[in-house]
Amino acid sequence: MPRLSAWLIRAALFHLSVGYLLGAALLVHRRWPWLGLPGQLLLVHQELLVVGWTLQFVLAVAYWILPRRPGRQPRGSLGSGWVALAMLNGGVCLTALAHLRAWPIGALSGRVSSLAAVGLMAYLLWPRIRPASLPPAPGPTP
Amino acid sequence: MPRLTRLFLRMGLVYLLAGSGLATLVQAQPVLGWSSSWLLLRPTAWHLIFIGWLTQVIMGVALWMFPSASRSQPHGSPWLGWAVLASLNLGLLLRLVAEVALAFWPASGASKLLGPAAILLLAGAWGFAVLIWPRIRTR
Repeated sequence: MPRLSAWLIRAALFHLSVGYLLGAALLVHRRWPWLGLPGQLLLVHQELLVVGWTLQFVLAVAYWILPRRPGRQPRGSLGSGWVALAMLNGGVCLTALAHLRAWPIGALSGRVSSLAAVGLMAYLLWPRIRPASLPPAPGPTP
Repeated sequence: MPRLTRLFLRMGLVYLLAGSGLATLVQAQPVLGWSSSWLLLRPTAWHLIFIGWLTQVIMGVALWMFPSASRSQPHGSPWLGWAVLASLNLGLLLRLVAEVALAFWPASGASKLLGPAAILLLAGAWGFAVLIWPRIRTR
């Protein structure tokens, strides 16, 4: 597993753990509302689990297992991948914090950061969507 | 494919059908003039699809194809794997029962099931993180 995938997966597991903790608290809060949780936690829960966990985990595994390209950078530009990791996780955290603070510009900035990260990952993955190995050229039959 | 993965994938398909079916019933409410209580089940339908199908498929495939944990236990602790499967599915089932009861029979007391459901779902997610963490290895 490439190092970038490993870190994307670790970050996704972090978001999974925190997102489920918030989800459990929200579920308990419905039965025992005296916990006094803010309603915005639902948006944070959704952000962490949809973008931080699911999307990030799927992108990490795709970066790992899609067919590699010939040449010195078989998985594309490594720098772009690390930038995508930083922008995706920064975007998720910023969006989550902005939801808590009811700060629309922060939430939009976070979402734009996540979008840019997804664009970078699409740029890296696109040329790798191809047959794993080219079929042998047809030769003369004996 | 390990047996645990097969069960994750099969349970995922069951929840995909159940969640899609429930979402269809919720969508049918205004058309067929059913009780508006059906609308309360929309988040439950999404959770059946998101946790029951998508998350379980992700977990099942990850447990199958991630690098081996060790030679003796290539997929990590079998006990923990089965506990994760049981926690997630039992948690979802309890939540479904509680939400249906809350929507249609609010005085039934079934809302008490939400607490155990929350704990089981959280235990399932954290258990998976613990199980898969040592298998995130670079070459």
